[in-house]
Amino acid sequence: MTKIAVKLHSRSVVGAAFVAPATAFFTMFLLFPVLAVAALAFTNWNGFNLNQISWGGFGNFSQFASDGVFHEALVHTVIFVVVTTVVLNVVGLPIAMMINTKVAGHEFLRIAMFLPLGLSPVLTAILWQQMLGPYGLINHVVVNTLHWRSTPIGFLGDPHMALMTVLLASVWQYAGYNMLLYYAGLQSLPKERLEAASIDGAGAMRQLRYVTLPYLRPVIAVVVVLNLIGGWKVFDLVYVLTNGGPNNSTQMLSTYLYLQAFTLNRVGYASAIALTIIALAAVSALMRRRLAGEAI
Amino acid sequence: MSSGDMLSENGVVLRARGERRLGPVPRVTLSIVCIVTGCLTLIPLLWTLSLSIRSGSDVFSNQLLPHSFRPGNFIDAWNQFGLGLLFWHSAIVTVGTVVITTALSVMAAYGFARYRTKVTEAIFIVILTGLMVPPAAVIIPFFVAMVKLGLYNSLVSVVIGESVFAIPFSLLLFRGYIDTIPVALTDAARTDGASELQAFRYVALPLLKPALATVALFTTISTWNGFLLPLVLLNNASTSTLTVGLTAVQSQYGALNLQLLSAAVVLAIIPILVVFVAARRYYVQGLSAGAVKQ
Repeated sequence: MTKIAVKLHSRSVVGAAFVAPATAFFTMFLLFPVLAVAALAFTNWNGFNLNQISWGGFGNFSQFASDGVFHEALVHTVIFVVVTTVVLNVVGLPIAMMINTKVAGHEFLRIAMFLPLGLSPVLTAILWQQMLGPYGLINHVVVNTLHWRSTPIGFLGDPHMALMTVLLASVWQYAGYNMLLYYAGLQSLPKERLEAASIDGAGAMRQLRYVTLPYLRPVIAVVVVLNLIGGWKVFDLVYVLTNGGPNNSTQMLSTYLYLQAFTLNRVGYASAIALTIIALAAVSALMRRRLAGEAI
Repeated sequence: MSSGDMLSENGVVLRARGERRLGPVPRVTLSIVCIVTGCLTLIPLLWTLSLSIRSGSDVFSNQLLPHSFRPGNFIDAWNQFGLGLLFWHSAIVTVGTVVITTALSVMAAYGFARYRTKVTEAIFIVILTGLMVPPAAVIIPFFVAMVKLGLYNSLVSVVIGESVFAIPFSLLLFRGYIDTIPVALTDAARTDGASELQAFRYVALPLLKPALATVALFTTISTWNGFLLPLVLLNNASTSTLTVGLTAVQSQYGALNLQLLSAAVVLAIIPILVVFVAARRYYVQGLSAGAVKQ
């Protein structure tokens, strides 16, 4: 009896020794910062002297109501997350199916879609500035080659178009991600089911509707949630491409939080924005089971 | 070679069936769509590449294709923008992060997989929630902590930050992989007198090579491409890492010296894309494993 107890004890000690370094590291540098953000959100602090932190209650959150830029940032972030998720899936799944037909050229398309995934969002932003800036390729073609207009289109400078440009650059970068995930899902699709449907006289659209999509539903659920979570993380691309401008037309919660914290030194308020982002990301993560149609 | 070839048996079956199902007209149409979509996707990269080899006057010459060839741009960009130092800093941060992330998470994953208790399961789940934390949302306390630890403006702070954001995914990947290694193998080593650590080091670890490669690749990509942490934690953009340094270059020279900015961007892209394409098999495996397990 005691021998077993000792053995169990020593096993859990060994286990603890294996997991302790990573656990301590994670606790110190990620868990603690998350808890600190949650606490700082209820304070007023300029970020310099720890003694000057004062309790602010829900003040930062009630300030959201009257802060027009916060409203814009929230709306833009939600638009960014929803639109990129929808477009990435609407583009990614058909492209994966197209590649899965293995027609000539599928390998070329796969590599072309794959390359942007390896790039830093910073480089993506610079590449798209060179595409859509006043001297960029598109304006070059529109103004100089086709003579459709005499002045460049303000893809980045026009408040009505800048958000669209950010969305385009983001979809360009991550479409390959969805393509790869769906391609992997399609590889595991049981061929007998498609063949059975085909023998029963189902055409391509009906096979898609009644065999492929239902089979892929759990995969779609995972991919959608990964896209949502990835969307809430957006910062680098927007910061470099537009820095929230022009006139806050691409301001995101993350860029606004950066502005509040590191330019205006309003750390308490910035933390309240940060807590909002964490809450939105957490809600997205909880949606997976519902999307997959699983019983909870 | 690629995941398609990995599943070559599958691929052959599919290809044979595809040829039977698709007539020549849809096949040709799909091929054309594939090639056109692929070309459109590559345009931003090709355009910057075409700018990078032009002479200064050719950049504003209203020509779509280069009419000059000036490889000297790469040397000028390297020298003028101090790219050597930026590359060096990115390399130090990347190597440091890969070493710390891999070491911490492979050990912890082994512990979580093989010494499962209610407590370790709970800790594992808490660490996994780190997957959904947006880095920008915790950057403030992280920054304050680094200042208090005296690590502000040190590459060490960037290594710590990149590592802690890379650990949850690495842990998930390693644990999934360790679960496929028979327990009997490590048990046999222990019966033969090996310590727990020796069983891990000499029996389990060599079998984990593919997972180690995948984690090293993902961590390399995310760290080399990282921006927020060096932006906040290092105080001088021109001696920061490559990504932050390039944004400084872009804001100074973006409108004037497009050919030099483009040359710098091409130089920055080449090493990471070479690694990425060469190791794409590991990337695809990691992507699927991570997504399925989540």
